[in-house]
Amino acid sequence: MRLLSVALTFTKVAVQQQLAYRGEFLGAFINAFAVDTLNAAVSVAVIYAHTDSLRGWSAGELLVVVGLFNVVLGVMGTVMFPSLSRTTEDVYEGTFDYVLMKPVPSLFFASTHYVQVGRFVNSIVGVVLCAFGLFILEAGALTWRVALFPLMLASALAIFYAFVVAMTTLVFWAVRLEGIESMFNVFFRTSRYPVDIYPKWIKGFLTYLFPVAFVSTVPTETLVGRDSGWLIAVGPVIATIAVYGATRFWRLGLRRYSSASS
Amino acid sequence: MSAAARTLGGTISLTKANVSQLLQYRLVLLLYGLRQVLNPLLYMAVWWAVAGDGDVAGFRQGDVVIYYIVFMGVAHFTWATGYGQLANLIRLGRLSPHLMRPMNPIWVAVSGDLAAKLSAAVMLVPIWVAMYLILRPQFDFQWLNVALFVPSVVLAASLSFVAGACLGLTAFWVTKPGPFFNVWYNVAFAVGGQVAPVALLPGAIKALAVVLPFRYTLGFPIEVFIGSLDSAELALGFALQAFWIAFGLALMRALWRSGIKQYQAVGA
Repeated sequence: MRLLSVALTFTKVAVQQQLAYRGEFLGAFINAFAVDTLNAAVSVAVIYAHTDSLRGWSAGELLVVVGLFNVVLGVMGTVMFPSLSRTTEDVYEGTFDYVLMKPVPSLFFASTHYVQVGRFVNSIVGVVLCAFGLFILEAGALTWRVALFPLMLASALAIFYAFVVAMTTLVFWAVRLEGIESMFNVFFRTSRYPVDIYPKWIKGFLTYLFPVAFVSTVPTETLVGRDSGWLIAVGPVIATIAVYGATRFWRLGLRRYSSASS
Repeated sequence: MSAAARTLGGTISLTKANVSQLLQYRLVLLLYGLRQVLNPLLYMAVWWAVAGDGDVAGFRQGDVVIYYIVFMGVAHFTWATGYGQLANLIRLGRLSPHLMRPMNPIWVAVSGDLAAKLSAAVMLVPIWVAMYLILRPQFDFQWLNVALFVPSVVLAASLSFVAGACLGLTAFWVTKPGPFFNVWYNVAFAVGGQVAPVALLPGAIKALAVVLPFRYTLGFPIEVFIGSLDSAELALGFALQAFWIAFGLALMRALWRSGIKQYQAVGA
């Protein structure tokens, strides 16, 4: 409860600071709009001008996939990446000492203390795309699987939070670490489309090793009532293992931290 | 020494300096390489699936594969980056020393651009060859098309650079023109040939795509290479490429002239 109120305070401070720069805000909005909405709209229109189903996925379903990708991208860009990339700077400069002195768990502080408000536009765009997709699908008959949707989405966020934490933790060995977000995004962007469109071995890689399948493909399947088989059970399991592993790894990294100017 | 020779010499030495600077950042180059390969791969997978055993608007699976492999090359050599440097020089007030030099600062952007292309090619060429060898698309090379491909890529790269420079020069008036570039490149990816070959775009979008400059910075050279255009379309394509370059150069000159007059070198 205390942690929650601390996180809320961080967010409030960020909103107050960043709303002062309206130009930046507008820039973020234009970016999210141009990059993702336009691309999504054009590509879906173009693809379905030539076919009714892309490896079994209809236009509406594809829109939901693209939408969910944006929702997750927005959340990660708002909270996880800004905070954790500041943490890598802290370690490099030795100011990580102050993080350790705060009366909250270090990992909590390291992953919540800096919020980039403008990036949340991606999530809003994502919700709109999802809604539009569901509207096209006329998803009247919801199945029991919908109940699993929040769990699937939470698993996706947990898996990628763990990934980013693990990558960030490498800073305790590497000291200087940059471009985590770019590196991550290069691969993460493969989840704009259902993993079914990829050849088998790539699909396997994207399901089990760098599990972007759980970002958009599996949650969409639960939402629109497609059968994703046993992957529904796999998601939460991977999420639990990943978060546990990442926190252990973080603690291991902390022990390496030698403070001061490294 | 004539002014032209001086400018050429200056640009070459700046390019060399930039290449050695860029080669320090190997991780950045690797990231750039991965992005240049993974994005087209996604759309290759999409159109491969849509084409299936038959074809989609004349594209068979082999054509789709070769289109996107060539895309990876063309997108690299036509992606202008020099504009960012230009915008930064203006924004931070660092344009001033360049104004004292005996050559137009636009060549600083040209050299930055060339350097980025050359140094990233070190990473990319092996990837393209590997892609070709792994995917082994069925495709007949026509030497005439390959011969026409070379000038079309050079023109596309020039057009892309001129467009980028025009956007970069807006830094005289706008503090951060970054979002403009993003909009430009994303429109270019959407209707210029990444999401789909222009031939596959539906009716109205396709008509627009043929007239607008975006296709001539990206998709047109690829279409020349794979030989999907007849001679009338080829002639029209080259004509429009030349037109947009001329238009862009005129605009660039106008922006430079009026921008430099009100440049205050304070670091906005």
